[in-house]
Amino acid sequence: MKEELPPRLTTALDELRLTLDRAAELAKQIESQPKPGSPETAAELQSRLADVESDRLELSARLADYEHQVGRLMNLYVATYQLHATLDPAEVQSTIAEIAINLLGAERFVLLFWKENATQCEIALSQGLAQTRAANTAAASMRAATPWWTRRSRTASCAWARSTAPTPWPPFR
Amino acid sequence: MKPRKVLVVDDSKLLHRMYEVMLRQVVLLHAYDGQAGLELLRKSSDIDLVLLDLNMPVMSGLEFLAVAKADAQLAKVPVIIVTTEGSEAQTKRGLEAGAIAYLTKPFDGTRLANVIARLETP
Repeated sequence: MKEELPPRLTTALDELRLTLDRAAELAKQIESQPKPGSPETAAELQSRLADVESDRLELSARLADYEHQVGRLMNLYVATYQLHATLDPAEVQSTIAEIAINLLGAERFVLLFWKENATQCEIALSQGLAQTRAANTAAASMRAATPWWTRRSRTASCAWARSTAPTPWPPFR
Repeated sequence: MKPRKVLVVDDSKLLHRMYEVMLRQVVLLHAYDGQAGLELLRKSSDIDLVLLDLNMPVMSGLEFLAVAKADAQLAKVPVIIVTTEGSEAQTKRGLEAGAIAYLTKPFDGTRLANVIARLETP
């Protein structure tokens, strides 16, 4: 005579069987996965480490770039602040000299002013150069900046610059 | 120790403005020549650092250093020389006169912060 189990017990046994099957499947999966310390795990970790290192290098380069840009913006801010702090021409000249020395690191420079109703520039300020050499340097730099068709003599010509229409700013995007 | 009060001795207004932008977290005292710098240094005993230019009117940076280092009280304050490139001889004389570091112009905030940070770690 077959002994019949009560329905609740049958269900419980079925559930137990299912659970055991699931456990066996999980055990198989775990066994098939690479174990810690195995060559597969090491290779995967190595690859992830390389990715992280590459990201770190890229971020460091970007940070250095941003720091450089911040430094330049800071210089620009300080220079424009000082230039706009006065209306006295002598003080503006002195500020330009300070900018050349302290922000640009110039050891030798010449500041040229256009003469009113003339075609030549005059040296307003020079540093690190003798007067004649300053004049020659100024003339040479003006020649370099002057289009060939306006070069008339060894003297720097400013007429072209005055007659040139201002270049418009590019549109904002 | 991180400096909290810094004396700037420089004849360039531009550089004073630059230090204000770069060293926003510290209190700055401003002097435009060595003589005025010494007076401020004597008046304020809580100055932690001096940023010193060498070429100045009235009293140069080297003269400032000579006087400051001869005074036992003032000699304790560390001095960083800020010079233009190409004046190595003067910079050397400044270091011999008692400055602890130097910075060449032009410089940016990072370089200034690095020089100051080196002073913080003995």
